[in-house]
Amino acid sequence: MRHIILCLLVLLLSSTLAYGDSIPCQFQMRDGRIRKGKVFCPEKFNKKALVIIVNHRQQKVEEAQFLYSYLVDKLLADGISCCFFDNRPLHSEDSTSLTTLFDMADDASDVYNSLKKNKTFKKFKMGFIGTSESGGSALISASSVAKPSFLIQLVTNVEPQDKKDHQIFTLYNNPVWTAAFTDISTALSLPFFKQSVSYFPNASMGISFHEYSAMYQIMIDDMKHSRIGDKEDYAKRLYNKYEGSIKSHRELFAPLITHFLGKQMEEDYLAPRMWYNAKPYYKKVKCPILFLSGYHDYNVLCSTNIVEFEKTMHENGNKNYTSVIVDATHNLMDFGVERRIMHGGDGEIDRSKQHQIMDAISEWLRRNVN
Amino acid sequence: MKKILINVFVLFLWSNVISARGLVLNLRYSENESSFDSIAMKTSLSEIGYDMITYIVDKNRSISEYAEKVYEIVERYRNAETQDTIFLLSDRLSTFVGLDVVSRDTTIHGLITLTGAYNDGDNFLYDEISIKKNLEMMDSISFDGSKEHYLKTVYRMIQDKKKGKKIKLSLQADNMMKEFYTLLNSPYGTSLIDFSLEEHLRTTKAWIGFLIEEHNEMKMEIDYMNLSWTANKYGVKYSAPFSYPSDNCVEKIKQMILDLRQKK
Repeated sequence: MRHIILCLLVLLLSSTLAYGDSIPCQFQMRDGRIRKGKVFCPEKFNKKALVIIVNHRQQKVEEAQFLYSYLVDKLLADGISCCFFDNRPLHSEDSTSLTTLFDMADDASDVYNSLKKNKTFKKFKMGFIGTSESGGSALISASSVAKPSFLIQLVTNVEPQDKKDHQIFTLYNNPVWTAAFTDISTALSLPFFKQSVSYFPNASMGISFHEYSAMYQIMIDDMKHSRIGDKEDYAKRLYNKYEGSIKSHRELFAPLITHFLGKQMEEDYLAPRMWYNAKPYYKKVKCPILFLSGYHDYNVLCSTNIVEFEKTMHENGNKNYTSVIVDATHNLMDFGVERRIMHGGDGEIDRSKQHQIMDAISEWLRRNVN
Repeated sequence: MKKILINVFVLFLWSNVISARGLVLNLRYSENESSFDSIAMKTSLSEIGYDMITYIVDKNRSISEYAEKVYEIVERYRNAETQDTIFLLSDRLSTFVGLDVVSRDTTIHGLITLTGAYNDGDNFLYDEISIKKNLEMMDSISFDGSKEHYLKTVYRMIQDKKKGKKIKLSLQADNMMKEFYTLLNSPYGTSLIDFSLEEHLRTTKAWIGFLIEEHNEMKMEIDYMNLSWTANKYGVKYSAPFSYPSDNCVEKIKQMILDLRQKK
C-alpha cells in the first residue's frame, strides 16, 4: 500500500517538476555494473552546478525524489541541476551481508566520476547532499573524489558511530527497553519520553541504569568487532554476566537480548555502520560545507554533533564551513515519523518551517556556486 | 574581606553539624544563582538526617586548590562525627571540583550534580560558547561567516591558552566573549584547560547522581555521552539523567540522596 501511494506521489511529482528537463543517465560503477539515474536540469539561468543526492541505504530513489521535491524545485528555479540515481538493494545478492553507508558513498562517488566524464556535465560544479546516515555517505564521497565543489550535510552524525548509537539508544530511542531492563520509574525520569508511559511493560528486571548502559556498550562493541556469533548463546553468556544484578523477571533477559541483536544485525541499521567515524574524512574535504542540525532532533543530537563538527573544522583549519541549528526534528524531509510527538496529533502539519529551511539551503548553495 | 566572610560562614555552618549523621557538602560556583532555596534545602535534608554545608567556589583559585579545601572540610567532619555517608552537591561549574574530590577521596558516597558538566575542560569551554552562539542564531545562516569566525576565535584562544601563550581580547568583543576571556585567564579557567574527565573517572568510586534541570537537555546530551561512555569503561556507578522542573529541585535532591545512600 505504501509503495502504491509513493508511486502515485512520484507520478504527481514528476508532473509538477515544471522547471526543466530530466536527462536519463547511465552511470558506470566500480564493480562494472551500470546504474540508472536522472539529472533534472533547469530550463533557464543554468548555473552549471549540479547536486548529487546521495542515497540512504534504506530508501528507494523514488522516496528520495519525493522527500527532496521541494528543495529540488527550489534549486532548479535557481538554475542548479540535481541528480538522482537508483539505489542498490539493502541486502547483497547472496544475502550474506547488509549494504552499508560506505557502499552508498562508493555509489555516489562513482556517479560523480561518471558525470565528470559526461560531455554535458563535466564542467559543472558538482557536490553532494545527504541527510541523516546518507550525510555520512556524502562526506565519504566528498573526501574521495577530485575537487568536489560543495558538501551539504543535514541532521547527520559526527561523533564516532558506536558512541552516538549508545547515547541515543540509552537516552531517547527506546524507553520501553529501558523500563524492561531497569525499572519504570527510571524510564519515566528520562527526559522527553515521559508521554510513552502507556507503552511501558508491567515487568521490569531492576538492573541499575549504569549497568544497563554498560551492558549496551558491551553489545555495541561486540557487534562492531563481530564477536556475537550465535545470538542465543551470546544472550545466555550476557545473562550469566549480569545475573547477580537482575532482581526479577529473569526469564525476560535472554529473549529480549536475542530479539534486539537479531533486529540490529539482520533487519535494521545498527551493526553495518558501527565503524563509521566522520573525523578522518573531514581532513580530506576542502570544499565549502554546510552542516545543519535540528534543535528537536532526538536521533542525531544537535548539541553533540554541531560542536564536534565545528571543532573538527577549526582543528583542520577549514574556514569554508557554515553550521546552523534549525528549529526542526530529525525528519527535515518527512515530518511523518515524529508528527505525533512533535506536532500534536494527526492534524495538519505546517510545512512552512520545512520550506524555510530548504530555502536557506538553496540560498547557501546559490552563493557557493556563483 | 570576601574570603573572611566565606570562612566565617563555613565556620558558622560547621558549628551546627555536630549532631548530624550525614553530610551534604554543597559546592556552589559563586557567579551562578543557586538552583534552590538553601533554607528549604537544609530543612528538607535535616528531615532525613543530613546537614548541609555550602562552600563557595569562584574563579580565583584552581580546581585542585578548591578540591584540597573541600577535602579538608570532609576530613574535619569525619574526625568529628561517627562515620556516615557524605555527599557532594555541585552546580554546573563546580562539578569539576566535585569530580576532583571524589577521584581522590574514595570514601565519599556520592556526587550529585545539578546540570553538571562532564567534559574535558577545553571542550567544555568551547561547547558552552558554541551552543549559546548557535542558539542565538537559530534558523539563521551566517552568510558572511561572522558566527563561524567568532567561534574560531574562541577555539584559538583555548588552544593558545593550552600552549601557555598570552591570549588577547578583541576590541569588538561582546559580553559573552569578555566573560569567557575573564574565566579563561583566571586560576579556575587555567586549571580547567587541562582538566581530563577520563583521568578523574578512572579512580572515582562514588556514585554519581545526574540531575538535569528541565530545558537544559542540550547541555545534558553532551554531558551524558561523555559520562556514560567513559564511566562504563571504569565501572563508575551513575544514575540515569533525571530531569526535574526548577521548582522541584529540593525534593529531587532529597530523593536522590535517599536512593543512593541505600546503594553500595
